[in-house]
Amino acid sequence: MKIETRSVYDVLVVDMSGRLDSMSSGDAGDRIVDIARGEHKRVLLNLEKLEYVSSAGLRVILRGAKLLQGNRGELKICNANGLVRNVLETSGFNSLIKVYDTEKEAFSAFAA
Amino acid sequence: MAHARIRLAADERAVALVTSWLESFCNRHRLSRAVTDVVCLSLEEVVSNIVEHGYERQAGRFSIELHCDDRALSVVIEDQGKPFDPTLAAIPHDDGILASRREGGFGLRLVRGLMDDVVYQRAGAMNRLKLVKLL
Repeated sequence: MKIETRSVYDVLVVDMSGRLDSMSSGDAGDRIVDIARGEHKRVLLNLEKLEYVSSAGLRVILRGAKLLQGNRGELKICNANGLVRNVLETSGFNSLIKVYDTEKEAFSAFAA
Repeated sequence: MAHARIRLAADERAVALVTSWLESFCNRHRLSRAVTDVVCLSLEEVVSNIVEHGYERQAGRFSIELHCDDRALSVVIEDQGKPFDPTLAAIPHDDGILASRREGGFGLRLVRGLMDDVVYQRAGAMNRLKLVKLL
């Protein structure tokens, strides 16, 4: 599991790759909490290179999103593919956190 | 018809051992990535539940059997933890409000939604859960 960040205007884009499962969710969770408590109020998770996410991974993302919201920020998700998209839809996660097809669409939604 | 069985301690290493055992079974029998991934996800949920809730992190054991033919991959998980029927367990209602959403419930939805068949049986002191994924 790898997490990289880049700043695009006032949005912090978080590129996640590999597997976000019970084994990696501890370290990934610490990183996401740090990001959610950081200076950026708009955070976009780009899941293009994420191959696998289990409910342990979803809980980590949910925790980050709630922390950000409590801090008057917002977390969005984009570019989920294959299995990851299937998991976001089947679990109902996409009714809690908005999922966009592309980074561009997510940026426009932040600005709206 | 392929078959494999594993029996393990229900501890913090269980999920990692089960997922790598399942991966090698699926590779050996040339099952697709899509089938391997969804069965792996479901097993991760079930085994985590057995460790955390079934045995409440106390000592215990569980077994998993895999059967695969041209039609389906079936998985039977048996443990002697607290009774738990994932086919009936209530899932928290989602009203789409992030702030009030509890963290649980995603795993159950995934198992029920990703598998083609989920059958639970309590036999004596044993939980017996059968998951079927059609190929």
